Order: sequence, then C-alpha cells, then structure tokens
Amino acid sequence: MALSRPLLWLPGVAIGLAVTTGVHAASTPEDCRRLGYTDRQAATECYRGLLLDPSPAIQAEALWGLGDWKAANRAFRAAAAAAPKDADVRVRWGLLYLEAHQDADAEVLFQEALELDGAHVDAQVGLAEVAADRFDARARAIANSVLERAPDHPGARFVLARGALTVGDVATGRELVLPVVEADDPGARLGAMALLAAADHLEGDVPSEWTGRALHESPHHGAVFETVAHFYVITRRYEEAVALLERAVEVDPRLYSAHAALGINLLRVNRFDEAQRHLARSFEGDPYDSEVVNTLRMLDSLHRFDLTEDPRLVLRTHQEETGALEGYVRRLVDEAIPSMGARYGHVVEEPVIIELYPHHDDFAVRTSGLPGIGILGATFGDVIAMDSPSARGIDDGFDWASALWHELAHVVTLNATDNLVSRWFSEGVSVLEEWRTGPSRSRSVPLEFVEAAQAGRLLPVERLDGGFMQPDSPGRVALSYVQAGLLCEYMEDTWGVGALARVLAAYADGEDTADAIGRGLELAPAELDAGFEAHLDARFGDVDPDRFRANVQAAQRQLKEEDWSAAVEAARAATKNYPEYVGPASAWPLLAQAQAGAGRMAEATAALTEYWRRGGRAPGTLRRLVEWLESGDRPAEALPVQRSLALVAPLVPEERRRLGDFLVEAGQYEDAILEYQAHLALRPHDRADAHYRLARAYHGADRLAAARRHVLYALEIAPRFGDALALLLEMEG
Amino acid sequence: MVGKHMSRALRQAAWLPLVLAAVLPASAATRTVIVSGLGGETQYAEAFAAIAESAAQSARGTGAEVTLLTGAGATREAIRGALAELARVSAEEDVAVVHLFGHGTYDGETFRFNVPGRDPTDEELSEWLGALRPGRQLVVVATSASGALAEPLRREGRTVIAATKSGTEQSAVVFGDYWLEALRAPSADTNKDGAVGATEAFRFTSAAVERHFEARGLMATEHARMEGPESAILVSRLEPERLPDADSRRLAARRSEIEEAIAGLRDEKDSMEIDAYFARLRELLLELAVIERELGDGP
Repeated sequence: MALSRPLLWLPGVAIGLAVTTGVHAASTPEDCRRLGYTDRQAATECYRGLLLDPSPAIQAEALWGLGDWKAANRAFRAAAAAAPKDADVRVRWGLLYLEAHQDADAEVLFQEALELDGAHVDAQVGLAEVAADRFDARARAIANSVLERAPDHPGARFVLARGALTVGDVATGRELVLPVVEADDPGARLGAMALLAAADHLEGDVPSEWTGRALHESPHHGAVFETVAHFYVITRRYEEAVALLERAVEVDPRLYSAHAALGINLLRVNRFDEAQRHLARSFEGDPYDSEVVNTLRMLDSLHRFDLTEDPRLVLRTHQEETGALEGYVRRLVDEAIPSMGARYGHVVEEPVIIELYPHHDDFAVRTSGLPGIGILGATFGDVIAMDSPSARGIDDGFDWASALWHELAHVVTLNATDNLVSRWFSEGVSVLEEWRTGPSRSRSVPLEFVEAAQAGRLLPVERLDGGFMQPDSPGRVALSYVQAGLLCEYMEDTWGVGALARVLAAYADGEDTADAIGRGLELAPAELDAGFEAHLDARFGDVDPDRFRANVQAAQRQLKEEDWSAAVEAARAATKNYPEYVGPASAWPLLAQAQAGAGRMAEATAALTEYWRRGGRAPGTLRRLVEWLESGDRPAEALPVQRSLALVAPLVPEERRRLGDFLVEAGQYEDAILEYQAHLALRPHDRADAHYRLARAYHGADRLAAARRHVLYALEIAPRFGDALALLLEMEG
Repeated sequence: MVGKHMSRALRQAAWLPLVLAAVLPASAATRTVIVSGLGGETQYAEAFAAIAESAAQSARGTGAEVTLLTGAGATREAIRGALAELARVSAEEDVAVVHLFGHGTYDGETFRFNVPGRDPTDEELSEWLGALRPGRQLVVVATSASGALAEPLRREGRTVIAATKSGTEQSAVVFGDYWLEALRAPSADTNKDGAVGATEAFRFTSAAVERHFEARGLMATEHARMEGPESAILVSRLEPERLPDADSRRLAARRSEIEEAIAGLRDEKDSMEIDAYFARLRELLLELAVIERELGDGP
C-alpha cells in the first residue's frame, strides 16, 4: 500500500562530516537539511556543494536533498557496498525508499540495519513507520520499545501519537508530542506542531495556533496542513481535508504528496477535473507513487463510463453496464434514502453520487490509504464508489445490491452528522439496515464471529473504532463489522426505534461515543457492553461451531457417496444447530440436495426456499430453486425468487429475460419492461426476440407507441418472426 | 431486379438464407462429412461422439447427405476416403460441409487432428479439402489448437470456423458443447426463419463460450474465430420444411419479394427520414404477416 500520510519527520543525518567543497565549505548534509526549513535556495546550494564529496553516502544525501531519488538510490547502493557494516547508511537508504512509497524495500533495509546494530533506534522507528503505514498494530509495540530506551525519540513519539489521534485519543496524542515542540531539531519541532494542529482540529479548536507557529518557523511548510488533512480523511471529512490540502499546495507548490492527497480526495467529493490536474502535478514531481499512477489510470478509463444525472442521483457506470444497472440502482436509491431518512430523522437533500466499477482495481484505488474499508464499497460523504456486479464472478454471489444499500445508509449517517459519526456506529447502522430493510435481508453471522463472541474476544464499544482503524488481528475488521451491526440491532430492539436516531443526533452535536450512548440510551458504555454480552450469549450460546462444521462436512461427504438419508440427517442437524447461517457452505442447499437425491422434491424445495427466505443469494442455488418451483407448477412462488436472482446477477441476460417472462405472466408489465430493457441493453444474442418481448410488455402496459416501435425493431431483424408478426397484426387491428 | 437486390442482400448476413433459398438451383445438394476424433479419456471420447452424432442428425434434418466417422472408424485413411468421395460426387453448385470434433495439437509448425493411428496434419487436410469442387463450403474444426487451421484452410467460397484463436490455445475446448446447443436453441435462430445457419451458429456458440468462462470467473482458454465469408449454409432446421402447393408457391414468391423489399429498405435506412422508413417497413411487414398467416407459417 502506498504511503497514506505525510512523513512527519526524517531523523537527522548521522553520516560523517563532508570535506571542504566549494561554496558551503565544511557543510554537512545535516546543515543543508536544517537550512531547507527556512531558505530553500540556500539549501539547494548547500546540497550542490556536497555533490563533489568523495563519500557516496554524502553524495546520496545531496542527491536526495536535490530531489534526484534515482541517483540518490544508486549512491546509497554504492555507499552500502563501501561500508557493509554501517547501519546508518542502510537506515537512511530505507528512509529514501519510504519516501518513494516502496515500503517493502524500506523494511528490508531497516531489518538489515538492525542485523548490524540491534539497538539502532532509527531503524526500529523505520519499521514502526512501515507497520503504521499498513495499519499494523505492531507499530505501537515497536515505538513503545524504542521509547523505553530513548524516551525523547521524536519519531517513536510521532508513531504513537498518530495512532492515538487515529482512534480519537486526542489527549494521549497531545501528551506524546508536546515535549517535542522544544526539540533542537527544526524538523522534529515542525512535526510536533503539525500533530498538535491535528489534535486541535479533531477537537474542533479551529483555527489552531500551531499552524501559525509552524509557518512562522518554516514559511513554506505546507506539510502542517497535509498532516491535519490526513486526520480529516480518515474520519471521512473530505471537504475539510480538501480545503487544507489546497492550502498545503498553496504554501508549498512542490509538496507532491499533498498534490496526490488533494487529487485523491477531490475525487471523493466528485471534483474530477481538479483532481486530475493535481494528480498529474504530483506525478510530474513524484513518479514513484503507485496510488497516483493507478488513480490516473483509472481516470483515463472513465471515458468509457456513462454519467447519468438528475436531482436525486448522479450515476457513473461503464457504458456496457448502464442499461442493465441504472434501473435497479435508481430503485434502490429511491427506496433507501427516504426510508432511512425517516428511521434516522434526517433527509438527504443532495443527489447521491454512485460509481460502479467493473474492474475491482479501479474501485480499489478510490479506497487506498483508508483504514478498515471493506472490500465491497466505500462512501465518501455523498459519493459511493463500489465494485459493479461484474467485478466478481457470478458464482461468487456478490450481493451488490445489499452492498449498495449498506453504502446508502452511510450516506445518511455521514450526512446527518456532517461526518462526525463514529466509525463503528456508522458501520453498525449500515449493517443493520442491510439486515432489516435491505434487498436481501440476509443476517448471516459468520461462525468466526460466534466463536469470537463465545470466547469473549469482542471489543468494548468505546474501543470498537479501533477494530476498524487499528485492527489487532487479520480478522478483526470483519468481526468489527458484524459486532457493530449486532450492537445496533440490540440497541434498537432494547431501547426502541428512536434509540439509534438519538445516538446519531448526539454524534451530530460533536459528542464522543461515551456521551452519545449516554444521551441516546441513558447508560454508560460499560453497561451497554454488559447487556450486549448477555444478549449475544442468549442468542449464540447454543450454537456449536465445531459441530456445525462437522455436520456440514459429513453431509458433503455423504452427498458424494449418494448416501441420501445420512446426508439428510447431517445437513438437518446443521440447520437446526445454526439455521440463520446462509453464507458459503450453508447447510440448507446441502439438505435440499440430499432431499432431492432421495426423491423428496417437496422437502428439497422447502429447504431451498428457507435458504432464500433467510437471505441466501448464491445464484446457482437460486436458479435451482426457480427451476424446482417452476417444475412444481408454482410460478407465483418462483417470481420473488427470480427477482432475487436477477438482482444478484443483473448482468446475466437470461436471468433478466426470465424475470421479465415471470412478470408478464403475472401481469406486472411495468416491472417487466425494466427487465426486458436491461436484457436488451446486455446485447443478447437473439436481439429480435429481445425486442419482441419488450414490445409484448409495452403492449400489456398499454404503451402502444413503444410496443409498435419494438415490434418493428424485432421484425426489421427477423421479418418472418411469427410471434412478432402476430403481435403486429394484433396491434394494428 | 433479383440480381440487384441479391447483391445488397448478400451484404446482410441475416437475409442470406431467405434469398439464397430462392435462387439456388433445385438440384443443388448439401453433402456433409462429420468426424469425431480421439477423446483420450472416456468422458471426452463419449462427449465427442455424442456431439458428432447430434450434428449429423441436425444435418440430416436440413436435407444434407451425411457421412459420419466416429471411434475406431475415424482414422486418417477413412477421413481421406470420405473427403475424396465428397470431392468425387459434388458439383460446383453443391454445398460441402465438414465438421471435425475432438482434440487437436499444434507444435508451432504443424497442426494434427487426433484420430486412431496416424494423425492427419494441416497440410493433408488442406490438400484433401482442396479437391472439393462446390462453390460454397463450410469447415468447422471444434478442437483444441484449431485456430492453426484457420489460415491454411482459407479459400474462396469457404467459411472456416475454428474453436480457438490460434494453435497456442491447446486446452480441451467447450466449443463443441455450445455448438451442439446452437443446433437446438431457438435463440440461435436470430432471423427467425426456422433454421440455424453457420454464421448464426458461430455467433451463438462464441457468445456462449465467452459467457462460460465469465460466469466461472475463469480466464478464457479459447476464443472462437470465423474466417472467410459469412455463411448461411444450414446446420440445423428447427421447424420442419413443408412442400408448397400452387397457392402456397404464389404466396411464397410474394413473400420473397417483400423480404427483398425489406432488405432494400434496410440498406437505405441511413439515407431516409426515420418516420418514413418505419412507416414503409410497417406497411411491408403487415402484408408479410397476412401472407404468413395464409401460409400457416405465422400468426
């Protein structure tokens, strides 16, 4: 992952004194670096003066200072070869890599340095920086171990302070960096001021005196604004971040990392043209930032996207998918925004901006650098970016409509609080809305969550934001989503429908989690945790994950052996143990398959119907259910299942056509028109037939002009098309 | 008039079966050779033989004379003999169709169609097919690596359909399965004339193969290609053909005229006012609808 925040500070240059070289006789790289904070021209001259130094390490520093990273890299390589036991050279070289966004290379060099000198604190801080950049909880442990031996180390303090500010612990952040303001090193002082300014902004103490003090010390120190902007970005306050980043590049037009961050965040507020300009500017100065390169590449691909705009929705979709997706997206937005607005007491007035990317990589560049973002979608204020259904294989069963519903709930909670809502609460509401009001209403709590709850491994509510922002284990983010959803569900079920709206209103007033819970529920966070734990125990206490897995495996094995009765028994035991589980390896389809194998089609159909009713959405399984219902002559029951199937696989022409056929049979012509339009937009092989079906639906809806147009389109392709000729004759009397 | 409209219609693949049916000499015959090669594994051998048998049935349904070679009988010598016989009995006005189902290999220089005993090579197949006289030919090679044959087999009047883009696509192909589906699927008959032509079958199959890989989230290991002219040679008939009586012949002749008029109208679409175009189209189609109803083929 590319560096997602500015490097606050580079440790002083510990490489030996320079020899006498021209203008700045007896200067050292450290002298040049210090000059750079107040007089860039002088610093440039200073570095130039070092270029003739015979030491490759000094040349490397000079080249780095002059911005020639490639040459600096070569010089560091020569320096490391010349001094194979010198840990300092490796640390400096690693820091160059860190600045060039090549964290993995930096990590190797820091580790090499530590092999040479196990107590090298700058190398350890370098590793902490790399870990922090990956939102890895080890950053904190490394930085703490450095402070035990070097209590004043600015880099270690900055790593810890950033971590504290990231999870909203402003007091600790302040405490850590306040002493550094008095440091001798100007870079350290400026880094401390930037974090103190960020702390002020996080507490709403704006404008911060620290930005003024930083600019007084270093007039072109745009990084102070860039640092503050970073904390707005990770708390989803993109408008504020953009304003600060604009100030950063105004103060320092050569601050390419700020140009990059500005470009990326301008995209998040839907200002594409300006974004492209800043990204291009960043690329000119820093061609090593893969995040910038990928984003520019993604922007280049946008010429193949359609932009559909109206007062409620701005939709960016790939031109090959617009016709199939627009109708569904519009329907989901039209349902979600008013219904959620009513539930949470806030109506979103601005149009929702939705981008659907057929290539996951394009979506991924929109979320890079953000901690704990799910891989399905991301919301930036009013802007939703997510994978389109085609970004994954159909058999993956990507429930994109539920994912969009989840993101629409974020739009409501972010909009209602001017982005002040805590991360866990926004996610919790979104997950709850998926379960309660979403298109699938699947509440498939994974077994891993059940195990974590049973083992007491969940986070207290006041630390739940950390589960997203600073996960302590690889599975923590996923657990935190489910925990937040269940917690919001528990709050609503226990304190009534208005409880969540009251908590949301408290966040809107700038309250923290403890106060928001106090206002919304009239109890302390610890009391909420205790009640929630008891609730989970009552709900999942009887679920035995090991037994469930064993039963599922037994059923799978017995199905292979065609031992139908044993498979029925094992699958049924699994469904009884944990009936609500409809995720991968759900027991319901196994039970259905076993029943079908035994020739008991009614029971098999009932099992799959239960799977669907509980929110199971694997397309192959739903297709089978539709076929069974159809062969059982139960078209009225097949229709809603086919609706789910078409929604989960909206780019499969046959599923849209089949739904259209069911709807025509049911006399629901307007809905059928939407399906047949989508079918046609997906460029089916048999276009004459597609036009004919659409004509038939229009005819049923009494929209004769459109019906006539499409029957003529059909016959234009296939003049002998009997059904279409019959419809033409019928319409013409 | 017919000739003039013919040249227009030939540019529009969708119209080919209708127009050609009206102008081909009554004595023109379609002769088809279908070969199912070695499967290697039982599942493949059985699948290839079943596909070949179905393709043969479909071809017979179009009125073609069929020679089917499968299993131990599908040797190099048998193939050479069948093609030599095809060359011997076919006239220029006839139609020749050859289907090869199975595995093919390509070593960078030579394509080989895998059969019991010695495999025929691209050079040999090219030579044997080169002896065929019919002016309209269709060669369908539904094998791995078959793209290697597309260029060597090209010649005037011959349409070559291969399951793969090149000889380097060497995985076992699913093309044959979907080709078989095309022979039966009403949706393959895009011009709704009750029959599936070679181009229709190719388009149906290549789209289905593409979806096959997309739906499974797999990288496509085969990309079908078609070389030479678009072909209306029938590979399957979905509705039985009826022998017309005198009245029917008159109506059928008028139907052909209307269809030609529609083809001509379509050619002029870009230069016409769109309302005038659709008004004229509607007028022609209404007459066609009535004729079809009287012929019992339509509404």
